[in-house]
Amino acid sequence: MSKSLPTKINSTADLKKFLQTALRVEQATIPPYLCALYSIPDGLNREASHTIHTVVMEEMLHILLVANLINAIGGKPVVDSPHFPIDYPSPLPGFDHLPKNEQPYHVGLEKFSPEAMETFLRIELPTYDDPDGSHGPPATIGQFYDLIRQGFHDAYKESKESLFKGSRKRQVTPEYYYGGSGEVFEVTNMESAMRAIDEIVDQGEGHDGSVFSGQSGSKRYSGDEEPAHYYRFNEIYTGRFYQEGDSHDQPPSGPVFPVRWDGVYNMHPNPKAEQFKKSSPTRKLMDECNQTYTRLLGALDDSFNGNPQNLLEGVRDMYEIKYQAVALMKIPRDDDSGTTAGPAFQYDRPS
Amino acid sequence: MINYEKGIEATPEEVAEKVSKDYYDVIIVGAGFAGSILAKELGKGAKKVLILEAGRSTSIRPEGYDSYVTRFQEALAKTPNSPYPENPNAPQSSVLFQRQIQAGQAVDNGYQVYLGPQPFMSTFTRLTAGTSLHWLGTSMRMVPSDFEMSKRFGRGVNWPISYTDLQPYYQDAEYEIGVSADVEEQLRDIQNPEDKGNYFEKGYEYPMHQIPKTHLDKWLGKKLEGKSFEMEGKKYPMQVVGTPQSRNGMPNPKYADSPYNKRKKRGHYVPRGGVHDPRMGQRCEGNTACVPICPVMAKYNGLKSLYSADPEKVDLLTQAVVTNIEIDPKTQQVSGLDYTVYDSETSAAPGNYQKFVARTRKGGAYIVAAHAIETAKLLLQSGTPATGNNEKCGGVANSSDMVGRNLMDHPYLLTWGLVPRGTRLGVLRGPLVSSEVPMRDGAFRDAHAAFRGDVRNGGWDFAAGAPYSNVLGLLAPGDGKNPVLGSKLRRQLYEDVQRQLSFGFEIEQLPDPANRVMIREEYRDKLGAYRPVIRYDMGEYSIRGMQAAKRLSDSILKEVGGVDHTVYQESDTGYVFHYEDGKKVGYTFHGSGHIVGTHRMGTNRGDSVVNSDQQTWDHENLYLVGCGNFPTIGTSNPSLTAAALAFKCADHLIKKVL
Repeated sequence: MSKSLPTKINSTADLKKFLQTALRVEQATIPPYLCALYSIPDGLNREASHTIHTVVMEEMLHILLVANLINAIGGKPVVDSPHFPIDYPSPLPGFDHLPKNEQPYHVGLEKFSPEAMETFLRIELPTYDDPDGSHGPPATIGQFYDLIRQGFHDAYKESKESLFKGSRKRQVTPEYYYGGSGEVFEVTNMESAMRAIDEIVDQGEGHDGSVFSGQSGSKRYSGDEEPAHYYRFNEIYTGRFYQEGDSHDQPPSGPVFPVRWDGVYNMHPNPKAEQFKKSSPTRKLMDECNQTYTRLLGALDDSFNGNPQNLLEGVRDMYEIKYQAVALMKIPRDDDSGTTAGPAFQYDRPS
Repeated sequence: MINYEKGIEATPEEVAEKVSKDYYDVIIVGAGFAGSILAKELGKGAKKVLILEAGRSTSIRPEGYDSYVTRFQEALAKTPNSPYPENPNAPQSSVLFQRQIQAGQAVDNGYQVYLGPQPFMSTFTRLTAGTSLHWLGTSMRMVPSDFEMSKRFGRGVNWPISYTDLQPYYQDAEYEIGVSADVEEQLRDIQNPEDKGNYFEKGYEYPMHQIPKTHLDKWLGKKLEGKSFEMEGKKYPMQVVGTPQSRNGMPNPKYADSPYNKRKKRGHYVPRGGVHDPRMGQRCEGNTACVPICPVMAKYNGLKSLYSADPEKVDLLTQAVVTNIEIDPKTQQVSGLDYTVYDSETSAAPGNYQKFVARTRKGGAYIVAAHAIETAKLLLQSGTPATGNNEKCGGVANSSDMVGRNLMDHPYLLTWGLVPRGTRLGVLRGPLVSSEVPMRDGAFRDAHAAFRGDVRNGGWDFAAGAPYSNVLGLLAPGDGKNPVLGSKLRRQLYEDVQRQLSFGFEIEQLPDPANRVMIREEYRDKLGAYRPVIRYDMGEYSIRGMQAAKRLSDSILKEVGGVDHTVYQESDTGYVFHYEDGKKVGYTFHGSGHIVGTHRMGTNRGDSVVNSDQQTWDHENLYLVGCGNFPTIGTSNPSLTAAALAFKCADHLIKKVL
């Protein structure tokens, strides 16, 4: 993938490139969320767990929608490649052109902690329409998707319906996604393409500057009315719930949000398999976990390239990664740090 | 939909206030499988409903449900009732109290009293959501011949309704409790072509695709392809058929276009996850804790119906034990329900009780849906209790003397064997049961019981305590042999367990008035209510069914090159025997928890308790709903049929009565 994205999408080929980067962006946020989530032992920090879990599920939905967007215009999503996942810690794909001090999307693998929440808050920071904004390469995820949206409009002007020439058989249909609040749908025309982009952008970031996406927060956890991700992470970070009347630029003022930062597995940040002696039992587990992860990427790749039913195979590996990750987080590292091993999310396909 | 901030839970004071204003259209006893569905449906029909539930409301709250899951995980003996703490005010039975009964000596150390000659091995749950908090989730329809046992096979009795009468309500039930199954596979074992043609409405699909078959299911299915099994001179195919389950699977896109769904004007089916967190449990995760409690609620339980009941219309009062059904001597109608509310969840200290009477408005209806055993017990203890001189025809709704009688269960026969060395069946993966070998229908039913054989994914778990017993056997082999240790132990354990093939046969039982629930003066619980006293025996029809089932298991083992290891011993609890070619042969049965028949429906008030509307013959405004209404048991797990009967009753009440 190119180090720096162009400032404008000039062709359908460019659009496909941007979408492939979008696929990587959405996927790259998941391992950091999972590390925070799995570092919380069962039964502790329930509210926080719930929040992170919800966000992970929505990121997965975004991946499927981006894959549908790519397939709709006859592209080929690539997931099963050593160049697909990022090497943590790292900027998100497509944002590595930004100077380090302006880098909003530097993400790493960390246990559930205030530092991890700071990262999540940066990823989910709402951005507002800025019509007079600069025309350089995208500086926020919002701008990045704005370019994609514009790219669709331009390409559609040129090609009309023939832009959506991809086979419908390659689309992921609703029955394959569950456990989140949104729904996967097929992308077959401009309308569904725009809907998919809206879904991705809206869920991630507050779209209108309000804390709650609806009128009231009284029905939260019933599935409909929940604050946007940013605010949910801010609740964890500040230890307070938002309540009705709270403004988006003020900290939450509701009841105490119960958080225990000490009730977690003390995972050392950004673990790598190579940090452990070859042939040691921990290394073996690290390798296994990486291989499960790679197998999962393979299943995703396969299901985005004509075999959607293979997503079911992927589900098995998603559970497997959880078991392996939690097992690793219980193994003390061989030093005096008092920290533990953890999942590395490295591409590892044994030959 | 749900919100437990503004839930359906009511206080005794609120209920008393509403009762004084003749507010309720319907009062239901029991917030279990049938009661939850009835309340939801009647509420939808704009009826004002009160449910009186004897058990606690713990499961209604997220932390309460989770506390049950934790309790189950920590329990040493993972019995069906292990998640649920003892409640002296609304006691329930436990399988741990069962043992072989010596003649004339009642086993009375648990809640239920067993008179023998056979132990009654099944239990139920007295809690909000009832036994749906410990069921397996198996949800097949009954087959048409089950409704005409007397007419077709000269055995048992006929139902006053046919399969066709119940068919529309099966569709309602399959939507409400969310069934994953395959239409084509469900037709395979139905023998009569006409029955087959009418089994499903044309174009019908289950809401969700069948739960994927396990490796074991597929392996066995392949081995048995084209093989048949002979019973009473006729051959039946040996086939592995997916078991319908109320466990969330992949929604079936074709369901949206089925005529049923279109009539209901519903769109795509969306699996209903946990009531406390709807994002959980939208698919089965294979936790294998199906019995008793699914940690993510991928399996249906009554909470799903209660939570979707209209909170404006439905009130639920828990810890309210109904002790008496009052009958107006002049009109012979129910005039009220006496109930006791206990305020402590655990203690039975006197003084903590308040007594109330619940009444409907004039022209309202009372429904007892308290489970086959508790409903029968409540009827027997009401009015002039059916004890001592009043044993015959005492109680309420009992002019036929049929209340409590015809108690049936599916005796559960385990068989187990080993397949050849090196075979890996995939044991201990997936739900406890995902497929079966059915022998549910056929001319043989005039000679012996029909049955279905669960293909058990847990190997010899139930049969012999595997895999723990295997660990013990390798660590302490006895006879001076050396223990197997280290990686060899791990390897050996895996190899051994992966060869374990085991079947669990649900065997049909016939109605026998002598198998019954009774009450006796000397057996009371702490609240002073009667305890169920059970007399139960196994008829020759069922034992011959066991014989055929064991023969089927032997045939299957032969086909797969396996060796039978089944042992039934006279000392086993649940050992029964008969004579085969002059030789005494015994079988050991367990309970299935499929408790039916105790207030059966019929066409004649002389030999049944309710009519085809599930209305008692004796009291116009008293209805009984649940498995107790079944005249015969067939081979289906009864919950789906009980749910269908609940839909039928709600429909009748809304359209014809209220």
